Amino acid sequence: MPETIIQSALSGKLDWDLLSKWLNNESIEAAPEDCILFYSNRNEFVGFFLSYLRNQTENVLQTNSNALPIPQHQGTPEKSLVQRKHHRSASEPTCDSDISNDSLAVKSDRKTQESPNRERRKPGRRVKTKLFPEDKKEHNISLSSDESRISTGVERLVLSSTPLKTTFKPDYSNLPSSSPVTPHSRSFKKCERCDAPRISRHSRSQEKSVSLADYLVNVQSKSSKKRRSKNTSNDDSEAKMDLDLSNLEIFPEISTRKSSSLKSDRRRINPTNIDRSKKSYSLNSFTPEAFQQPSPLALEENLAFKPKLQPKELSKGIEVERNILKQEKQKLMEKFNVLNTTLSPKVTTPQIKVSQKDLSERNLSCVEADQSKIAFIEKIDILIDIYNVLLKNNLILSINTEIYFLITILLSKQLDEDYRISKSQLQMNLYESILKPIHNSTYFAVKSLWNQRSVLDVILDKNSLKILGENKKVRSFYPDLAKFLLNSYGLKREAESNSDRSKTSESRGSNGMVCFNHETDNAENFPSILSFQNFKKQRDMFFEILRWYSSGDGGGGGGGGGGGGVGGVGGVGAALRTRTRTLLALGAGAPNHAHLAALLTRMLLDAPAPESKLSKLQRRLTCPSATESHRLPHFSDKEMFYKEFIMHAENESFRVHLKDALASEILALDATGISNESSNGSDLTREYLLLSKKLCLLSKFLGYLTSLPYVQISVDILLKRGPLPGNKEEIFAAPKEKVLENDIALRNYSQPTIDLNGILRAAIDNGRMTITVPWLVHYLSMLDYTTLRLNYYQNLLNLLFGIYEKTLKCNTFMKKNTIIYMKSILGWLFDLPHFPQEFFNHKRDVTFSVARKGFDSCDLVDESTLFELCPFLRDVNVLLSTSRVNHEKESFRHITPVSLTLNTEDRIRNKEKELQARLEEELLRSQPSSSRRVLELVWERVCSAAVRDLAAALAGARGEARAAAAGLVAQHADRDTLIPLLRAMYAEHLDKLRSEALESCKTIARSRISAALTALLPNSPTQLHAVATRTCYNRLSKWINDHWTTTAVLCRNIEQEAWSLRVSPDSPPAQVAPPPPNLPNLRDLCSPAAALIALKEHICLLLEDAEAPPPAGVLRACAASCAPHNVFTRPPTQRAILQLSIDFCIVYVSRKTMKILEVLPDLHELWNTCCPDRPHHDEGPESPERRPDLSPTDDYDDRAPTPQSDDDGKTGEVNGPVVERPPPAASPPEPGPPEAGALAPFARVLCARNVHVLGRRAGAWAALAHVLLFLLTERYLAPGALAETCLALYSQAWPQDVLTNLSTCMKTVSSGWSSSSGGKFTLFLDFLADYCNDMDVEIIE
Amino acid sequence: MSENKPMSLKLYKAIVKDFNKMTSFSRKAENELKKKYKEVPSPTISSIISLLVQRSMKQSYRKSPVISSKYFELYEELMKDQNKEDVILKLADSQGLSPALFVRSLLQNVCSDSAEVKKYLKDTTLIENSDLAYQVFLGIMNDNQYGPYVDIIKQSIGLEYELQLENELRMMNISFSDENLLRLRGYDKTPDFKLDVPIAVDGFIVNWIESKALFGNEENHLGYMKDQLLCYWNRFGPGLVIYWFGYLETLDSTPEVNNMFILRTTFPEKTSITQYKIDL
Repeated sequence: MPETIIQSALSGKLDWDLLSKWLNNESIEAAPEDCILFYSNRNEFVGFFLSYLRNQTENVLQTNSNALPIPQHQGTPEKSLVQRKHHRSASEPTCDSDISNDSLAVKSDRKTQESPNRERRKPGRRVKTKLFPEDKKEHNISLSSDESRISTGVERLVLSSTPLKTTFKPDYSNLPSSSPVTPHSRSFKKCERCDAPRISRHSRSQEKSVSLADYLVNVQSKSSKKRRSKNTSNDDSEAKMDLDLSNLEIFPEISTRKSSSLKSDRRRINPTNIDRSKKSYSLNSFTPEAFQQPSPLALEENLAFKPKLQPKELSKGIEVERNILKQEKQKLMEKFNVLNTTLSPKVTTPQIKVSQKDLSERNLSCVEADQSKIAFIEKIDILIDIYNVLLKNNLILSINTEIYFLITILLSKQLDEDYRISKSQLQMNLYESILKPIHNSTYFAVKSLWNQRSVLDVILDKNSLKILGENKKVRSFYPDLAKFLLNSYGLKREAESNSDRSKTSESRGSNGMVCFNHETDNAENFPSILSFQNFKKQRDMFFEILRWYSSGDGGGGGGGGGGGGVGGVGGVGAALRTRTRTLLALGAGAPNHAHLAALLTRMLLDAPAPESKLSKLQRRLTCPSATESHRLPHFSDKEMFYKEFIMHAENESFRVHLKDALASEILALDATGISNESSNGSDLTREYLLLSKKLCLLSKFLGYLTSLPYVQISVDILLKRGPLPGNKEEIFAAPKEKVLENDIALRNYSQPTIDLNGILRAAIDNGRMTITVPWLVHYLSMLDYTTLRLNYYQNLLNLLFGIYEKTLKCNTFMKKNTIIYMKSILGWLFDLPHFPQEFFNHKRDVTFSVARKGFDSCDLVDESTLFELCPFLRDVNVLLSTSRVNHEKESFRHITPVSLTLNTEDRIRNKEKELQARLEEELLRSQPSSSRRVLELVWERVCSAAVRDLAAALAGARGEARAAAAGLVAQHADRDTLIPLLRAMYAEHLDKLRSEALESCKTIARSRISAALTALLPNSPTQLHAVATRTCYNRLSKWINDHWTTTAVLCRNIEQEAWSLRVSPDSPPAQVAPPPPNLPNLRDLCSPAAALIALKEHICLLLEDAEAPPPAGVLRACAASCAPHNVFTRPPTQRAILQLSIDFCIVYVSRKTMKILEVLPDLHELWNTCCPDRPHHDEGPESPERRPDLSPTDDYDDRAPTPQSDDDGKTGEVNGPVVERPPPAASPPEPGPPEAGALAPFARVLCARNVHVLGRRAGAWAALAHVLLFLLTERYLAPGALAETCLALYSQAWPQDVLTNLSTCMKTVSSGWSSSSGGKFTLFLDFLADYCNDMDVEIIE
Repeated sequence: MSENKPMSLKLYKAIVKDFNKMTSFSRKAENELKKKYKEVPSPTISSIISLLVQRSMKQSYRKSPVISSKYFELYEELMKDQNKEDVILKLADSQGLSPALFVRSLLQNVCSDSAEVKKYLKDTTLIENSDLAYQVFLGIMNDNQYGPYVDIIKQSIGLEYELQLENELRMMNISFSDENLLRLRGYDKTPDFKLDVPIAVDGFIVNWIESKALFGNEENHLGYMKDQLLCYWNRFGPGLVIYWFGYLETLDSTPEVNNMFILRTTFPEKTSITQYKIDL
C-alpha cells in the first residue's frame, strides 16, 4: 500500500497537497473517495518510505567507507518483513547471489587514497591476503549480524597468529558466554597449536578435542551456513600472503619481537575464515552489529567508519596486521602506562572488513556526483518534500540517524558499473530506481540537508560545518546550503573567540573520595557500635578495592604473563568477587548495606576524578583517538568499576539499598531548582549540565540495577566461562517469543522503584521536561528487552512518544537548541536495538498540557552542553572529519596549544589562582551536604535581596543624574554641545553607580551572609562565609554587568531628557578582618622529654663514674619544663622528672658527696616547682598524743602500701602520714592530694636500693644526712615518713659497715633536726640509731 | 627540628649496618653511634635506633616463665661474684636483649603478677632486695628504648610536637579540629588535626595533618599508612604527614606520597603554604 502511495505521488496521480495534508494529519475530505490515502496507515507509510530510501541509495552508500551502518528499523514487525522483502529485490543489481542474506554487502570504492597504506599497492595488482586456511572454505565467515558483535575478526587473528605454546592467554571477553562446541570442556591448555589442522565443520560435533581455532571457527559458522556455498569463486586464486617482517614500517618492534619466536622470518598468518565471504550489511535490516563500536585504532587509520570494505585484500591484510600489532602495543602501553590514564580508550576490536567478491577485478573508476546530470529532478523533489514533512512532523524517530544517512550519501561515490546499471534501470522503472544514480541521490541528500539546516547548524561542530560547507558537491548542488553552513561556521567561530576562555572552572580536582560527613556517618547513625565499627572497616576496604581495581591489578592493564593484558580477566573477576563479598560480609546487616549504598551513590556523584591536562595530552599523543561510537548505552571506565562491583557483589540486600539510595538521590536532584532571578545564561547552562549529567549517571545505574535480576548470569557461571563484555548481549537480546510472552505475563503488573510516570507527568505540568526526560531516557536505555515491553513502561513510552510527536514538533516556548537536544536524546533511545519501536505505531490517547512558562523555556543548551549530554552526536562530526582526512591525508587530531606565559609572575599568579580554586572546592567538598544546601540557599536569598536593594539604589542614582542633567541643561543652551556633555555626564554617573553598587553589594553580601550563616551554621569556618559572600558578590556583579551596561539604565533617551529638562546618594563601610591572636612561641618552651633524656643520661654518667658536666643546666631545664606555664608538661611527665631528680640526687650524693650542697638549690627550685604546696610538719604539738602511735603497727601500717601506678596522677590514698593525721585545731590549710602524691617519692629516699647506691662510702652518707635535713626543713620529707622508712631499713639485713653508716647518718639528722624542733621523731631516730648501730650480724642471720 | 630533606638511603643503610655491628642494646652503644653520625640530628638517630631495636626485640624477646627463670638463675650465678656492679648490663648484652626488657623478664620470675612487675619497674625504690633494686635501676637507667622513663619520654615527645604543630597552625590562623573534638563528634577515624578549611602546601591540597615524632622508615610508614593515613584519605582526602625526625628518602617514591598525602620533616614554611582566602 505505501508503495502505491509513493508510486502515485511520483507519477503525479496523487496530489501533493493531499498527500502533505494526509501526512500532516490534517483532514483530507477533499480527496476522491477511492483515494488510497483513506486506506493507508501513516506510520506504516513512514516505515516503508524510509526503507525505500535506504534501498535506493544502498549501492551508493556502499562506497562510503567511513560510515557506520545506519540503523533503520522503524516500523512494526510486519513491516520489517515487507522491508526485508523489498530490500532483497533492491539489492539484486549488485549482489544477486546474496538474496538469501538479510544483510547486504557494503561495497567500497577503490580509491587508493582512502587509506594511507594503500599507496604501497600497485594499482591493478591483486594480492589476496589469505588470512585463513583453505581447508576452511566451508566455514567462510561472513560476519553475521549478531555474531560480529560478539566476536570480531581481529581477535580471531590475534588468537590464531600467536603461537599458543607461549603463555599467551586470549581474551575471551568477546565471545559468547557459551561455546557452541563444547561449553564445558574448553581448556586452553589443550590448544597446543593454533595452526594445527582444523576439524572440519562436519566433524565438529563429534570431535571433542577442541582446538581454539576450531572454537573460533565454530562460533562463526553458525550464521554463515546459508552463505557458505556462495563464496567459491575466488578461493583458488588466493595465495597466502607473505608479510615482510623486515619492514619495520609495517611491523614495529612488536612484530619483530614476535618474529624471533617463530622459526622462520616469514610470518604465516594463521588462517581463519573470515573474509572471503561477501560481507554484507544492510542499512535496512536492523541488526545489533550496526552498533558495533569502531576501534579507536582503526579510527586512527581512518578506518573506523568503513567497517565493511576493503578495496584490496592486501591492504586489508596489512591493516589487519597493523591493527593487531597496534592493539598489542596498546595493551603494552596500557600495562606500562606511567600516568595510568584511566580514561584511555577502550580497545575495541576493529572490524574486519569483508570485501565484496570480485570487486578487485573490476574497473576501479568511480562516478562523482555531478549536478548537471540529475534526472527527474521534479520527481526527486516530491520525495524530498515527503521526507521533509515526515521529519518536520516528528514521524521519524531519530533525526540524527537521518542526517547521518544524508551526509553519508553526500560523501559517497558510485562505481561506474553500478552507475551504468542504475541508469538503465532508471529508464525502465522510475519508482524503483529514481535515487539510484549517484547524481540523483546526492541531489536528494543535499536538498534534504538544506531542509534540515536549522538542525545541522546545531548538531555540527564548527569544523564539521566548515568541512560540509566546503564540500564541492554541496557547493555545486545547492550553493545556498554551502553559504548557510559557512556562515554559521563563521558565527560559531566568532562566538567562540568572543566568549571568554575562562571556562576552566569545570569540576576538577576531585580526588576520588567522599568526605566523611559527621551528620550522616557518625556513630549515631548506626544501630550499634559494632555496626559502626564494621562500617569503618568497610569504608576503608571499599576504597582499597577501588584503588586495587583502578591500579590496573583489577581493571585493565593487569593480565598474566605472556599474553599481555588479554588473560586474567576471569581471575580479576574472581578476585573482585572475593573482595566485594568480603566487604559486604564484614557488616552483613541491613544498616551497613544502606550506608555502603549511600557511599557508593555519593562516590558516583562526587568523585568523577577528571584527568589532568598532562595525562590528557599524554593519552592523546600515545593512544589512538578514542571517538567511540556512543550509539549504545555506555559505561565509562570509571563507571565500569561500580557496575562490576554491583555485579560481583551479588547481594540482593545491598542492591535493594543501592536502588533506594539512587532513587532518593534522583528524586532530590530532579526537584532541584536551578533558575533564579539573579542567575544568568551561562550559569544556568552550566548548572543544568552538571545536574543533568548527575541525573543521567544515577538513573543509568538505577536502570542497570532494575534490569539486573532479569538478565544477569550468575557470576559463578560467568567466572567459569569467562566474562562477557558488559551485559550488552543480555539486555539487547530478544528472548524467544514464548519466553517473552510468559515473562511479560508474569511481570506485567510490576512497578519500578520510583513512580516514573508520575514524575514525568509532573515534569510536563511544571515545565521541567528538560530535566526529567534525559534521565528517564538513560534509565530506559539500561532496561532489558522484556522490561521495556511491560505494561508500566508501555505507558511511560507512550508519554515519551507523545512528547516527541506533539510537544517537540512545533512549540514556540522552547528554545531551538532545547528542542533539538530533546529530539536527539529521545531519538537515541528510540533507536536502541532493544527498544520497542512498534509501540510508536500504537494508538495513543495520552493527553497532557505542557506548561509554557517553566524551566523548559529557559535558554539551557549551548553547543558544548549538547555534545556533553549527547555524545552520540559526535558520530556525524567524526564522519565528516574523517572524510576530509581521507582526501587530504592529514591527521585530524587537533590538540589545542596551551599558551604558557613567559612572565614568571603571571605564571605564579595563575598557579595561585588555580590553587585557590582547588582549595575552595576542597573546602566545599568537606562540608556536610546539609551545610552545602544551606550555603546555596543563603547565597541565593541574599542575591535576591541585594538585587532589590540595587533597584532602590538605581532609583536614587536616576534622580541624582537627572538633577545633574538639569544643571547642565540650564548652563548650556546650545544643543550641539549639550548632548555630548550630557552623555559624558551620564556615563560618569553610570560608572559611579556601578562602582558604588559593587561596593554596596560587597557590604550587603558580607553582612547578610555572615548574619545568616552565623545563625544557620554556627560552627562553620569563616572561610565558608567568605565563599558564600564571594559567590554572592560574583553573581551580583554579573547581574550588574548584564543589566547596567549602558546609560539607558539612568536615562532611556538622553536627547529627549535634555529637551524635557528645559524646565537628588551612599554606601556603608567595609569591615576589617580581626588580627590573629597573639600566641606564645612554643619554640621557646623547654621540652620535658629533652630534659628527661638529659637527666637520665646524667645519672648514667654518674653511675659509671664517667666525666659529667655540672648538673645545674640539666636541673634548670627540668625545672623549666615543669613550670606551670609549660604547655608540654603533663602530670605523668612531671612525676617522672621529679622521681628521676630524686634518683639523681641520691646518685650524685653517692659519687660527689658534699658537692651536693652546690646542687641542692637547683634541685630545690625543681622540686619546689613540682610540689609548691607542701604540708607543715606540726611536730611539736602533735608529739604527745602521737607517741603511742609511733609503733609501726598501727599508725604507719594503715597507709596505703605504695602508689600503684602514677598513670592516673591520683595518688591521694598513698599520702604520707603527715597528711593522714587528723588535722589539729591550728593546722594549716590542708594541701591538695596531688602534692601529697607528688611527695611520695621523697618518702622513699631511704630505701634498700639507695642504701646500695650509697654503699660503704662514708662521705656519701654524711652528705645524705645534709640532704635529708634539707628535705625535712623544706618540708619535702615528713619526719614521720623518714622514721618509717628508717624502721623498714633497719628491719633488713645489712653488713655492719652499712649499718654504721646508716646510724651515723641518722644521728646527724636527728641532732640537726632537734635543734630546730624536737619531739618524738628525734627521740625515735636516736633510739633506732643507737639500738641498731652495733647490731650483730649473727643476730640478724 | 631536623633538617628538611629526607634521609638518603645510603646514610640510612650505613646506620643500619653500624647498628647491626653493635653488640649491645644499652645506651652506651647508642651514644657511640650518635658520636659517629654527628651530622645526623640526635633525635633522628635515636629514633632510627629505636625502630631498629624494636625490630630486633620483636625477634629476640619472649615473655615466658621458663626463660625468666633461666635468666634469674644466670643472674644469681653472677651476683655471687664480688664485682657485681653491672651484672645486669652484661647479662642483657649476652642475651641480646635490651637491659630494661631483660630486667622485666627477671622481675617476672621474682614477682607474683605482672602488675607487681610494672610497679617495681616504675619505682625501683620499692624493691626490697637492695641488690636487685640497684640492678633493676641500672638496667632501666641504661636503656634508652624501653622502661617507664622511656615511655614517658616518648609520650612527651609526641605531645610536644603535636603542641608545636598546633601552635604553628594557630599562628597561621588555620582553623582545625583536633582529635578530641573529632571523637566527640563521632568520627570513626581521627587524624591529629583535621583542617576546617583546607590549605595547600607547595600546591598540594592538605585536609588533615598527622604528626609523627619519629623517624619514618619503610616498615613503620607502611604500618601507619595502612592503619591511619589511607583511612584518613578515605574520609578527608589528601593530607600532610610530618615525620619530625626525618624519613627515608625512598618513601617519597611510594605511589601514595604526593598523591594521597605529602611527607615533610618540619612544619612547612610560611611561603609554601597557601591558605584559602577570598579577595572581594
